[in-house]
Amino acid sequence: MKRATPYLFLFLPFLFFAVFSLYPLIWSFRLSFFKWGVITEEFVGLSNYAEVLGDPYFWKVFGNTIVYAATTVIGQIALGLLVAGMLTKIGKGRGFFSTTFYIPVITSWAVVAVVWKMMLGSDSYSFFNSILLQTNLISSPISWLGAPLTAKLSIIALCIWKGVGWAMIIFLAALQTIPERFYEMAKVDGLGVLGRFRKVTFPLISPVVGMVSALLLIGAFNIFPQVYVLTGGGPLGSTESLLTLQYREAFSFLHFGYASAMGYLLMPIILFVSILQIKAISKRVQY
Amino acid sequence: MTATKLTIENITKKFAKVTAVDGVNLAVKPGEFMVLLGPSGCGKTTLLRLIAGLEKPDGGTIRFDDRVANDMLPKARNVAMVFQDFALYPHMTIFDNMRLPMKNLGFQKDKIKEKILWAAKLLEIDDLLNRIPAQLSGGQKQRAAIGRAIVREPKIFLLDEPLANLDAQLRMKMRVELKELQRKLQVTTVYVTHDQVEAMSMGHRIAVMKSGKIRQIGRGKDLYYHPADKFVAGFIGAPSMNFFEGELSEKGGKFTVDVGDFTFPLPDEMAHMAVKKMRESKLILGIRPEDIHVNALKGSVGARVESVEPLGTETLLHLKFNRHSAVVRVSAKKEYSVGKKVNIAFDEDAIHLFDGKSEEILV
Amino acid sequence: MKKNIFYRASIYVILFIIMVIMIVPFWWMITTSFKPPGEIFTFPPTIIPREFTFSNYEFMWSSAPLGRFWLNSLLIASIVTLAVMFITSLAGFAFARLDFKGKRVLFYLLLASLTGPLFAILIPSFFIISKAGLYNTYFAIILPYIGWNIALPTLIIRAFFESIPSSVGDSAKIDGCSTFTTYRKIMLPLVMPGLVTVGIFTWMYTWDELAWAITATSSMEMRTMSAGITMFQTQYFSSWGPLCAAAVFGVLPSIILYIVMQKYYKPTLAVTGMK
Repeated sequence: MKRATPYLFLFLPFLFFAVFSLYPLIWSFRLSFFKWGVITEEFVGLSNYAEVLGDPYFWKVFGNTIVYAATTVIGQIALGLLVAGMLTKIGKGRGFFSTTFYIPVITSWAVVAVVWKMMLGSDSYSFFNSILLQTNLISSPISWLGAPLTAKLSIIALCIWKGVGWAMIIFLAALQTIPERFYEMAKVDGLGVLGRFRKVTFPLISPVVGMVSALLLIGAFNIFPQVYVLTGGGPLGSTESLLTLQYREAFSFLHFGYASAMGYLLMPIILFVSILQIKAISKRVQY
Repeated sequence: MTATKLTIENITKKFAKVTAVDGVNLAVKPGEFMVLLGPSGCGKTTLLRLIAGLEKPDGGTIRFDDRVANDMLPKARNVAMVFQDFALYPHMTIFDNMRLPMKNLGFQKDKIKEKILWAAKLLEIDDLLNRIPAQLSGGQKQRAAIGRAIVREPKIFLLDEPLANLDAQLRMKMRVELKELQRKLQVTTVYVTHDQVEAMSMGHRIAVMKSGKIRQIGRGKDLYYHPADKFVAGFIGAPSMNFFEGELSEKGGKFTVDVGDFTFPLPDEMAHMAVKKMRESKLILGIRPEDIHVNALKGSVGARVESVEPLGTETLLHLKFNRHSAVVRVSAKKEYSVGKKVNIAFDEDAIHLFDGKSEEILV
Repeated sequence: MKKNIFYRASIYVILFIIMVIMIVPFWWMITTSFKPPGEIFTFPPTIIPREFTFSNYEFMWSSAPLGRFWLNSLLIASIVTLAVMFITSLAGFAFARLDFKGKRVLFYLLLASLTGPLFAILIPSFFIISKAGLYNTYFAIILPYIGWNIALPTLIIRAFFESIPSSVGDSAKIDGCSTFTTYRKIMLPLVMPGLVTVGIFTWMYTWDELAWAITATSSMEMRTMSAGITMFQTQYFSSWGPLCAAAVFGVLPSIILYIVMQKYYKPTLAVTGMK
């Protein structure tokens, strides 16, 4: 009986895993305590972390990310639920609509971001503006990516547009598991649409909602392509996300230790928030 | 090919804190159909897996024909096993399912084909050889699993509750078929089940197990009429034996058993034998439902009828005394009504006495 | 009755509107790719191109490196996906069906790595790749992509292996199959759905990933679709035509894959472990 066999199976996987996942994680953790200059390195203890926390730009970016997180997560969940709910009411076409709604989800971020950027246009021409002007929703062209507020809106819109299909499909599956008779009982008890949602639907799917929002939250903290392509962080850092900031610190300014520290600072936050969220929502379910 | 003798000496197997098999000794004769019978968790499946080589014993020896097999891989032991959930390879045809072990064991191509067709014909699945398991019914799958086991001419045939997943009628049919098959093939077989009816009808000998130990080994008849302890007595036979706890008392050379609801005078020989083995005065009196006679005149005891179960061929009376209750088999022709009082008598020859503490048989 | 029809009709209308919103960027992308430069910037914009041309596509493939980007991504995605499928099937099998020392430790290691900030991995990987002299090569992208797609797929595949009843594994042992033969026989068909799911997610990952793709490559010939198109548009932002042509190519594999493999896209199983 070859005791070594399992290790033979694990050799390749763990080789790749160790070299590109494990080692880098440990290495950059160590790096976060150093000032790194490629050839030289200087142990600085927690000063990288302190520097990050003391940097007002970091906090501005953190604030941006919180805004992104809140809006995109709530947006995707609300819209996802809404659309899923609507889909449960129709028989024909459900498959067709689900499929088309899911298409943005499966397409490549960078490509989609570039397309959106083109559609938002430059100051000279913008497709969005053309449509809005045509339908008289606005009176003069908006420089979408030129002003902080509209730039943020554009990115949020992009995130929601691309992601809502994912949440929707999961919610659709979850909604379909609720037996019809619960709704019938609720109707008999005199509950209206909103009441039924609050008393029947939401409690039963809250674990799913919890799971989805936790995942969306983690995703929101990791926003990169959208920002990088559309605005590069501007204007004036109004759209900068944590990841684009880290990226710039590391690869443009070569502040590797600083960037690593930033990354590890966020990890416990994200973990903590996710766990909180899952716990909070799954507690609500009582059959 | 001569059948293999299987010897199990003092086998122990522990899982974490639980001792699944505790010093078990078992000798299976060549060509014998041995049944391991017991409730779930008694260790019978673990014992089977130890024989198969799927688990390694913590102590003791397993011998195949005097060869120590403890360190032999399943393949080397040449055992075939039939599982409760059939364990057929879902993506392969039945033919391929049966061919795989033979290929691994080095059979020749034409011999393989020959044996598979032979087994398929024997088990009446020859028209199913090209199907995959999902296309077969439960009974067919079971037969395919059996076919896969027998084609490779195993030394030992192991079956782990193979009929448990079949419906009642099919189960009865398969019991007969399996018994016949084993008789034809003369392969040493170990069969695990928790169903004592199955055990009684199929095995040459039965080993009753509880909590990792073998309580008694013997033919079905022996276990039925001469159980070694209360557990075996209660496990074998349905409806099960009636038990009454009581005390032995002596008065003027005559012994009686006092169970609270009534006293039962013991025949002298029985009493003497019991006294010899007893440690304390507590006893358990056991008597089977068919050995209780209702409305007897001699030495009667009174009881109330609690419920009546007409089974067609016979009727079961559930009686209640003050403390105890009992089940009696009576003729279907008589009528009994609930709540009525009846008089019963015990058949003296059929009494079993068990020690109150160790529960072992006294008489 | 009447209310019902009105109700359902309005739902269909809303859904239709949403669908349009979902599709519009793609529609715009496709139509723009077929428009000559003059028509692209007209106001009001034309929904169906008045003038239909392939010039953008020609440009994309001949003069611009856009076509090259696509081919690079295609190549890299294929290699990475197949590699990941194979390698993680080995690991998943080992964790699900084999016993070995350190199993728990290694398993928790995999789990733990999932919580690590993705970004933290980029910097050291960059130095590993440069030290190995692989900077700006296909391997610079292929190898790390495989490495980063080991943990999660292994967990997924492991779950699939675990769903195979243990009696089947026992049966294989009794039938005399070696561990590797068992892997080949059990793994093949029974885990196929899991493998395909993993394959799809890995495929999407390679096409999606941006940060590393930008970091690991410097020359245009080596860039993946994501990196390439991002870099290209910073310089040639106004070449909307070719950019859209490239975008069309960029999303085409994903969409085709999706339509063909629809049932494997159930994200619920992989993500939530439910259903």
